[in-house]
Amino acid sequence: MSMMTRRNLLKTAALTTASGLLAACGSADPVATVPADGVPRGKISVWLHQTKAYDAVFTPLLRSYMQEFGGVDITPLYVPVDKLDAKLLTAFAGDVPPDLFRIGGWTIPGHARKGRLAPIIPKAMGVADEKALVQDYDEHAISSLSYEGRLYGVPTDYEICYLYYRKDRFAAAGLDPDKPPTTWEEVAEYSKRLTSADGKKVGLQWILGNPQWTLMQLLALVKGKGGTILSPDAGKATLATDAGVEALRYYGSLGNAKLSNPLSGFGLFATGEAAMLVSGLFAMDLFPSLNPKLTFGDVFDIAPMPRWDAGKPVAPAYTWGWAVAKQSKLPYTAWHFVDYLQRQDVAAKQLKDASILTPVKGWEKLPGADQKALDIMAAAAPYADFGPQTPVWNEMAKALTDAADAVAFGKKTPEQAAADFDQAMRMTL
Amino acid sequence: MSLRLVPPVAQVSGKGQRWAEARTGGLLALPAAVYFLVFWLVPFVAAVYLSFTSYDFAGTPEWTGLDNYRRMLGDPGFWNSARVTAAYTIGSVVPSIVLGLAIAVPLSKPGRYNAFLRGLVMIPAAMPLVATSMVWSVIFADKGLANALIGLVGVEPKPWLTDEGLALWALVIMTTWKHLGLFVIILTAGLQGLPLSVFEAAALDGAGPIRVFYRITLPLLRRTLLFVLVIAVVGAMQSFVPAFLLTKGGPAGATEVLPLYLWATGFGFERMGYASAIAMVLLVAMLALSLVQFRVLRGGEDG
Repeated sequence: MSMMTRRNLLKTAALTTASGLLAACGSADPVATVPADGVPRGKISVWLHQTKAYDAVFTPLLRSYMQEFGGVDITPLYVPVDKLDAKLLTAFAGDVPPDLFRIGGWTIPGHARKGRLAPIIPKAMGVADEKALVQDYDEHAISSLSYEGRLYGVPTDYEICYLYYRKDRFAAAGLDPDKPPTTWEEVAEYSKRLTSADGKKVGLQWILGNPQWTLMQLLALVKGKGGTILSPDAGKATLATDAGVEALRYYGSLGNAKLSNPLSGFGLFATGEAAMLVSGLFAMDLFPSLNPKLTFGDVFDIAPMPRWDAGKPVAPAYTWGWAVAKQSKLPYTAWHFVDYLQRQDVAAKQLKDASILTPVKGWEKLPGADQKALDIMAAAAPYADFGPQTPVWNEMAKALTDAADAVAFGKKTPEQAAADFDQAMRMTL
Repeated sequence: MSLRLVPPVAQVSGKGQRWAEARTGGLLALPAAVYFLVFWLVPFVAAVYLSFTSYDFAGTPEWTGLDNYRRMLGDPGFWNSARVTAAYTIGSVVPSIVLGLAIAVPLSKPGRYNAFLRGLVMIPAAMPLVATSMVWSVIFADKGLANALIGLVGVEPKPWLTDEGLALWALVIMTTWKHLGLFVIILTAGLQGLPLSVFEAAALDGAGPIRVFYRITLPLLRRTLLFVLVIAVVGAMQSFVPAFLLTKGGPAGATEVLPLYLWATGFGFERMGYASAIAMVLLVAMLALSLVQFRVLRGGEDG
């Protein structure tokens, strides 16, 4: 009797486990029906990360959309940006993802490979096909949201890196505040002059420990030297080359890894401990919020991303995007709502009120942002580089961060760190 | 008015009574059994199974045999985390127990303020770990209390959480502070349960306090010490929150303890099979260490 009971117990455990796993893995095929009358209806959920400024733009849009399309009910859920990926993942695993969500473009290949995303429905976006939709956007930005030739998102919050610099620190060091460095060699030279004897004030400070920013910073250095982080087909790591090692050596030679600030390089730039930083458009509003004395154009300014002397220009870039879950029963409605959010007038309002640049066609002329910032971005746009497009982006960026941080903290030589990165990626790719 | 005595249990045969008792016992144990089954056994069996599969939250888990365990052998991230976890465990357990004992010995004696002091020392243990981590992030800030205190003795301010040589020890300090109170209370209870007659006999024989401590107190306290040691080691090896909240595993992987690496592998890289294999190795390591501790310290009896 007791044997039977044990057996039954084990059987029950196995069955429950299996059913749990199946429930976690299974997914119903979405019915991507386009309504005959083309009118969206139904109740959809939207997950996005929130800033106060963006909320002020998004909430009225949501209301006006529901007013205009009475048959649609949208429930938004605001998730802190650093929790969004984990929440989405558990929602996918539990087979209860939101219909629509805002995600980092770099995560699209990973989600698409696992069949979690619904491709664009062109009709819902008011165009005949994907090709026509691509023409409505900055080509580089929207292309970064595709996987194996299919488009899975439309871009919002487009960023191309700038070199931020503190004019006050430049002036104090006897450098011309109106002549920021244009090459990485100059950045190193300026950094020497901007670094105090005790190392507490530095020239360029990298944003350490952050996978996304590590990738963008190193991308500029490695690719500018003619190297790559992964091979063009993203099947092999290629950091352990002359270009990769030289880039890491340069990375480790600037800044002070031990400088402490809860906001990393952003905080150090705001306090003036760092005189230069690589960052995106969003930081123009961020810095004055961290330190009210920082006025753009007066205390700090922006410049194009430096390039290596005689090297090719590289403009590290990223974009967030709107995507729709494959499990969504109402993908048409979801994409229709996205189209509403991506109009030119909305893009202008987002840029003006929330410093979020939606890269719709002609974004260079959108009113609302500082024209200098847009001009620099527009000049860099042809060289925009979104880094390796790989379904294992998170692992790749983490391994790269480990390598770069190890060099910055002097724990490994550039050669060792590059070799370790390549080895770690061999196991992953 | 007359009282009629009613037998408390109905007249049943011995076998029938045993059945009735078994049924009642089974029913009473059912909620706990269901809880154990749903929240312990099923996840455990699932984790063991997943550790032999490749599963990325999509599709069905694919059986890969020992691949995940083989992968671990060549994974520098895993070995770094294993080293960090070992250093963190030793670094936090040893001072916690030594300090705990040093505080518990005077607090276990009768004293006017000892009950109050025991309550005071328990406060950190009663604080939620997340709140504790937040408080210590302020303490370890550049202009925080830690730097103010070392400044009093002329030491330069330190970047506690961003220096790869200091960050782990900053976490150790916080964890020791957090768990010390609990260990003090357990050790105090153990000390108070020791037989006074032995100490009186030792005093009559002229044994000094240090000799008494090493020759009598510690051996008699062995079981309590074993309990504290086991929960301290297991707690340290499972520690996740301080590193997650204070350092995110950085700088340069210096605080990337195994549970954090496991979490990143599972929920960051979506490799649930590999994450489950790491969890199994961690479990086996904890069991093995606990068994060693039992073997070394068992045999004595408090009181």
